[in-house]
Amino acid sequence: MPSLSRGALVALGLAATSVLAGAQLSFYEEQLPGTLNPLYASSMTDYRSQELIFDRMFYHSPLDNRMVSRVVEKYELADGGKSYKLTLKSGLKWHSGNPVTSKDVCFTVSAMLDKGTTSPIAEGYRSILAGCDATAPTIATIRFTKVFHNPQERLMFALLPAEKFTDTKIVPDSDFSQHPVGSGPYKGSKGRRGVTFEAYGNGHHAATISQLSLQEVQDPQVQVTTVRNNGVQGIIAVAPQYRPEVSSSDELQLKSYDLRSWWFISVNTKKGALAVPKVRQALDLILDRSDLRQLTIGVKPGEQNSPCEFISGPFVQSSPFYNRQVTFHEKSDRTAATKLLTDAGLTQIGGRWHYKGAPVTFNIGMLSSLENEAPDLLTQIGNQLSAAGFDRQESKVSADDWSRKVESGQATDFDLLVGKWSFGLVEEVNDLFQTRSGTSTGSRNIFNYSNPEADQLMVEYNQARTDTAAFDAYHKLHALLATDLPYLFLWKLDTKSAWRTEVRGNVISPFYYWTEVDGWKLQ
Amino acid sequence: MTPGMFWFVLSLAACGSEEAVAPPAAIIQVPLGASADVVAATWQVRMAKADARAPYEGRASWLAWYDQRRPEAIAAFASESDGPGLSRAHAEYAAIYRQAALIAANAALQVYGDDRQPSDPAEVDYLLGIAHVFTKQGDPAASFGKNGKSTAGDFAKRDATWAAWVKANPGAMPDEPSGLAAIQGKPGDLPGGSLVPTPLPLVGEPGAVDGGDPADLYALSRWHEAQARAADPASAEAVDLVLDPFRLPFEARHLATGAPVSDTWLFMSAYTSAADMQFVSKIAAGDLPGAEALAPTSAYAAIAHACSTTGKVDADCVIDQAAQLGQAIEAGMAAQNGGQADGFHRPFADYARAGALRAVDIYARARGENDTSGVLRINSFDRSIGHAADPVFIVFLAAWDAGNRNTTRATELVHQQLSTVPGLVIARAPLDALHIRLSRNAAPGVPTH
Repeated sequence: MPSLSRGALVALGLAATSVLAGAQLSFYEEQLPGTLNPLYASSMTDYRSQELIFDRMFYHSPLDNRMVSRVVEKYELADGGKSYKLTLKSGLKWHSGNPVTSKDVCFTVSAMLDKGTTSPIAEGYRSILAGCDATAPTIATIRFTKVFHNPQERLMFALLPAEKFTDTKIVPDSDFSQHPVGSGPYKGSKGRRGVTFEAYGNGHHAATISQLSLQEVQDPQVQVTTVRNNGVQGIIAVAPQYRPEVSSSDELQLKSYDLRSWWFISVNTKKGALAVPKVRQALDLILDRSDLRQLTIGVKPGEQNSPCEFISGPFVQSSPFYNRQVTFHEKSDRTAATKLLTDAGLTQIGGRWHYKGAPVTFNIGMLSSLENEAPDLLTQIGNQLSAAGFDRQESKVSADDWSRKVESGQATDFDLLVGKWSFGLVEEVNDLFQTRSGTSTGSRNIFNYSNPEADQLMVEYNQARTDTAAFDAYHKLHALLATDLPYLFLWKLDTKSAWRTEVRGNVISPFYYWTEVDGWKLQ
Repeated sequence: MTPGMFWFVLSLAACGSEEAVAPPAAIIQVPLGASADVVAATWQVRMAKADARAPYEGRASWLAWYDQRRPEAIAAFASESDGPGLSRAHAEYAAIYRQAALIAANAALQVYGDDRQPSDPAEVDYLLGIAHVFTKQGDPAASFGKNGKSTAGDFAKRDATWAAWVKANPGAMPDEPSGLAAIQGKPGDLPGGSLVPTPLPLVGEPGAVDGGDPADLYALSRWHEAQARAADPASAEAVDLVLDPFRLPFEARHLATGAPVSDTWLFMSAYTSAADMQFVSKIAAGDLPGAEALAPTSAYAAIAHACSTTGKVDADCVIDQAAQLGQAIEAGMAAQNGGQADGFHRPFADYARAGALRAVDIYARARGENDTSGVLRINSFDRSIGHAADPVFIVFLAAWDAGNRNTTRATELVHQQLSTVPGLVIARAPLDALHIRLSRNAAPGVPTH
């Protein structure tokens, strides 16, 4: 809603108080989902929205992490452990009213195995799944590529309805992405300004809240004001500077959301002066992360228990894969940066840096939804670079463009792109830094970075026979990336939600968020 | 309120704070089952008066405590020669390290038990044995005695010591297990920082993994416990009250006698009164009727009672009443302050908001209502914000997570507490090993924007 002022939006929030009540629950998301097809989720909003519409075969309970299923009645190992025989629960229905059968299970497996399905998620399952046989309407036997001691952990994919597809080659832009049919607790319908989820009665779901309404507003003040006034009932990601206000309110509760997210500036290593490693290293020293964090997220230097912690590589500090020997630059070091730039052949004329006789101008983009958690981050980064002698252009990138252009390596007009990546239990970063090859490697390599040494380390990680070898490979990769700098690593930022206290039973699942939505209710 | 403001506010409270705001417009009700007297007896309400806080004002120890700088607080208690304060700080570290030992034991049990791989170091048998003892699961005798030829650290010696002990003591674990590392330090110290995990070589593969021995953490806990008892012998009952809920499963619990507990043990704690401490302690000792009988004097017991009248603990009721207790305490504090709310009232009441949930979580678990307990535990974590973020509870939560194979949260919690609890580097080793193993054996995941 770019045409409305903040004041008008706040007023709207106030006005909405009397409208949004009863069994409907409205909440603010970071952005609208780009797709409701679970094979093509690329944003956290995609994953969260899809969790409302689809069932995953197995999932972890958010209470005690035990592996459970809503759709599988019983299961047993077969074929010496290389197959898993599943019996579906009776009475499962798609939102179309048709029954969920073993053919749907096997269709989902076949769709992921079809190389025409250009989904990075499917690509990951191709090394695990070998096929599937539907031997009875409720019995499917899924074959694995090898014996896994924890097969259920490999079966956490969302179930797709065979009836909605003509073949197993599933493309990202089909109608299904906007008008999906699932078997989950809610039917989803995506509009231009939001998504509505209507509860769907099913044998394995009994959602108490009849309708959920996902809305997008990226002004954190508007979000907090509106939820305080009961215009909406929740905010998925509360900006850090508003968390004290939320936590001190008796009407709201701050809720933890387990998600590993880290922020970065991706550097176009193939463009102009940025192709020179010393220039990238100079930019890393020019950035004053401490100031950036304070000005945008509101964390003061030395603050205890900060939700935002600097990083020097592509992992959060609490991760075992984080190489704790590699230090980060918290404060700017302009003197060292100037030396690096001079060594790299740049000259300073009239206070502006020039490369090969021309002034250096950086075209900087930022994923627009980051504005929610770190207001003015793009401007502040631009200001720091400008103060250091670089010209800049700034623009925000919509979530849709980020998914379609940035992640596919087509946003090469940009010099720098500010973004964040989120992870669940799996923290693999090969998709980000490995040389791009179709959908098999480097599928989210923003500027098509390519470094044979880094590639080798990522191959070593993939092929590691022991955890130690995997650990060592990623530690070396961290150290290499901290020097070569395809990214300027910024920080990790905790995610917290805010919900009105009238919302009960609101257990939030790690990563997927809505897994236990059946138990949510409004007082 | 910023950390430094606490002192500022306390200093100004007697003459009217600049943060003073209008009194609450509505009369705040006390929680279900709790009397006004119980609310009035909470440390928060009693210490809303400046004279009650006077013994704690102007002290580096308590300022550091409020600011969550526990290492500075414990050193300050020692330098201030505050025996009860030092005793409490050491007792809380004893509780923290008991739970840190449980993190390491739970993680070792998972990664080297069910998820063991052939290349895992031979020494993990010893770690499994310790994990069996500490979690009171499995048979430790089957794991000890296999590392006689180990050259990693002193694992061969440790293994032999414990193997001999298990052979000689087939029954319950005694209070003074042999084979524990000797901890050196003086009152007010945090000796855990000197301990590091031992690299253990893989079998048939290059490389090593860090071996974090839960026994080292238990030894640290015992050292802190001894320091707590020595710092103020008169506080022996309070030491047990702090420690009992967090002892390891094999340990015997003290039976709370109801002896008075000084405000030094309550101020800025998760308990509003000595009766709350006794409530949780009695649950830990398996005395549920005794715990429930404290409802007339313990706000937490009152909430537990009022919210379980249907035969099951009602999580929503507990969440409501914990919030109600916080509001009632704030109202009580304002009343003590001439009807004026003050800036520190809310942070002080937050200790009770989180503490009530945590106490009834433990109550529900003791009743076998594990899902309700889980809901309350997570809600208590959500309420453990700012100054109310109790490190004992956070390490306790991480231990629970490690036992549930929920390493994503557990590794984050341990990381957050490392500056407060330096010995957690020992617990991090098996937790990291578990996390890597689980993440490499999980369904595929891709980075997501």
